[in-house]
Amino acid sequence: MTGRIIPLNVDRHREVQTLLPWYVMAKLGDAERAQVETHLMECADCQAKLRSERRLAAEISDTPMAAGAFDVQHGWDQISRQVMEQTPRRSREAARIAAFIRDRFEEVRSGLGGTGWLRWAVAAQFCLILALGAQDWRKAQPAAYKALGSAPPAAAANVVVVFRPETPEKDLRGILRSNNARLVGGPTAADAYLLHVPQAGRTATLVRLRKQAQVVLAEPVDSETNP
Amino acid sequence: MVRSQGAARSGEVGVKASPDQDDEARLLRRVAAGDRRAFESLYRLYHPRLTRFLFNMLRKPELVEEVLNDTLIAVWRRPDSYNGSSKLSTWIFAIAFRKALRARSRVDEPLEDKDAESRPSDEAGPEQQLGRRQTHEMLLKALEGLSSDHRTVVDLTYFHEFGYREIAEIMDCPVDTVKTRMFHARRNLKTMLAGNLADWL
Repeated sequence: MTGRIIPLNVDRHREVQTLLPWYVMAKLGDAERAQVETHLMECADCQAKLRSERRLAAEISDTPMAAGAFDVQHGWDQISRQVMEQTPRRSREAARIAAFIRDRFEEVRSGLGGTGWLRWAVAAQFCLILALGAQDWRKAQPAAYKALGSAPPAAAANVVVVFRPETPEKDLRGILRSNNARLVGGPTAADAYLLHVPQAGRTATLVRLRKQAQVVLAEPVDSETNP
Repeated sequence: MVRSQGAARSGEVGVKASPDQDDEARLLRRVAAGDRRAFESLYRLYHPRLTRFLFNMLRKPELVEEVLNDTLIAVWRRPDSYNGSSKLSTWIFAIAFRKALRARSRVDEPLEDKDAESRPSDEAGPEQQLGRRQTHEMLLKALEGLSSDHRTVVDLTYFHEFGYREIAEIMDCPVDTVKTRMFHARRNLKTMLAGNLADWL
């Protein structure tokens, strides 16, 4: 049996010295920092490395960029037109949903009889239903990026419907079938359903749905293509 | 200038001053709501940081500007892609890194300065005292001699103050690769600065 000595200390030096750049920059977690500091207390070689490391970090962080400064105003002028022409995807959806809910709120409020708090309360409840439905509708939108081999995306919802709570499932299915509608999402917490109906006949479908005794609300919602 | 672990992080030089993570997250939420003024603030905040980062990777001003604007326009168009699992800066730098790699693959000319290691400094003669400016020039020249990956790790660590895990996320590589790149980058710097600044490396 040979008496080969394994230099454990060399590994420890290497390990600590590997971490020194991030130790100097205060970017280590507590455990690693403690590990480095414990070793530093007993290792003069690594203490010298630490001093070098501090100097190097100071010099590099103070070294200006070789190519001189790029003008931020020039850069902003270049892209500000694109920014004016485009809005973030989420904000477009949010703005559309907000506008839809605001319009429906005004329609319901002005169409209700009575006065004062009751009219506002009913309108607000109505809008809450729509908001919850719209929120789920947004979640139901297909992802922007798909892996190769993904299944084709389901048709996006283009109608939101609220049925009367007592509507039997059989009636509900019958209404969907008779309108050539497919269920995309729901029921939401507010019992709203998100449907896809043939786009060409959507207006007529909405009219038919609204005439159904079981339907409390039927409104269009519109998806849009991704940026 | 360099802080020891746990030291106060305020009073950084120039472009390194940045709001804290909460401020940046608030700014991004306003951007997601379509607030153009918030986006302009974000743009001005990240422009100098990304400029330096991208210049270190690409070395071509016209590419730097193109990639920088592509990066921040991507932030403007798709703020919902940020899932909050990392710092906002890590997410933005990762976008910039990916776009820079793609831009670099488009250009035919070599971007690495392979001769930097052997080229003598224009100004620093052997008998000259090394002033601050000359120190910076020598260091810049040595940094230019590093490979792009090594230079990127060095810059992200010392200038942009990212931890090695964040750098691994930005560069989409294992953390051990980041540590190894840093180890070799420092060794190469020492070789290139031999006889000049190597005494403190």
